[in-house]
Amino acid sequence: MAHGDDDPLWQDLREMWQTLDPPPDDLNAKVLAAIAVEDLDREYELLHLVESSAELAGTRAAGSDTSGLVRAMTIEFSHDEISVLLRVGGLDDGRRRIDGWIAPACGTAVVMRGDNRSWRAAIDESGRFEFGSLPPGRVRLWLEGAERSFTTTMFEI
Amino acid sequence: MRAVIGGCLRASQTVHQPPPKPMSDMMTAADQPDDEERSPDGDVWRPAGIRFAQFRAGDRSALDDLVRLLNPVLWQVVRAYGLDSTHAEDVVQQTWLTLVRRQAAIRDPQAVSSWVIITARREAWRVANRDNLVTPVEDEVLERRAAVGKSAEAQVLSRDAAQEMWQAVATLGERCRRLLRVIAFDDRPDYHGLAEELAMPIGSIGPTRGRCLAKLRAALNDGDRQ
Repeated sequence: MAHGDDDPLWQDLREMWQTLDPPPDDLNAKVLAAIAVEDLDREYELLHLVESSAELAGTRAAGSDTSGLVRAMTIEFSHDEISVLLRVGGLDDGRRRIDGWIAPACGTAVVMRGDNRSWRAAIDESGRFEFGSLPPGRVRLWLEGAERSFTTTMFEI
Repeated sequence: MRAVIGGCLRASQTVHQPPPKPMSDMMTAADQPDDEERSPDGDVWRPAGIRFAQFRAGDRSALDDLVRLLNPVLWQVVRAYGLDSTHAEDVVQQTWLTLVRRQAAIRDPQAVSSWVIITARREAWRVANRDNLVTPVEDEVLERRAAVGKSAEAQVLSRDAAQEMWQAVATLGERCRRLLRVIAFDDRPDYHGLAEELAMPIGSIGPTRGRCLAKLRAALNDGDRQ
């Protein structure tokens, strides 16, 4: 024990937090999925998650449960002066519709990369873009066509 | 290319957050990890260094092992800053993506654990201070607790004892709670960073740590007497 003290309380403290506040079950999978779609050929900057909120019909959303009920989510990422706002809605067939907005408007296209697939959408003059129908799951967003390239971490739609 | 609008196209714009400096600039010699046994479970740091060396030699699967080895520690350290689950996950992800992008900055593979923990802590601290994102972890944990079925291997502490310990820690101040949680999972943390985050001189961290443990012990004894 290198604590400079061998107080048994340290072990108890560790076990207490490991028991009562363990990492989410899918944390490793999420990290590995994010790394798997990493693009090392380009210099880009990471957008930070600012807010993620979900509304389930009549209840508060629990974690990243994307099954079942049609729901709406708002996710915001930012970096210095740029922010990306996503509104994710559930479609009747269980797929997702995404309406996004980049402020200030920049870039030419947004690419969503999931585990094995990617989708692209054009960004219009006002910074808006949309994906009409995506399967639910984990994705990362990449902003292309701007002088600086941006990407997000992996998130659930 | 259409007309330049807004700040996103200015290439020369300075980035708000400097990238993590190489370990050698960040850590004093005393902070450098070495081969001594370190908690938690002393057997994490060395395999982590070995896996990282293998990853850099081209073995992609070694990175998976590294993530599995260090995530339990990273989670605890990031949660020490009071971030909710969603933001804590984001910080952990950013830390790994940063490692993948800046792997060349780590000259000694054995330093990878410290590098990753420091990177995560800095980001967690930045996020915690950015806007009042800090939610009472207690409430959130109470919500999640019902769903938790697993416990750590070789668990000695019973669930009841863990609950008592939780209550006792909750009676301590923010500073003690953070210090204890960071040090419990990283016994030789970056003291410069800790001192800055806790707004205290570096020489006070040792004594404060002792006082926090004493307070905790007193709170546990109070609980026993009730």
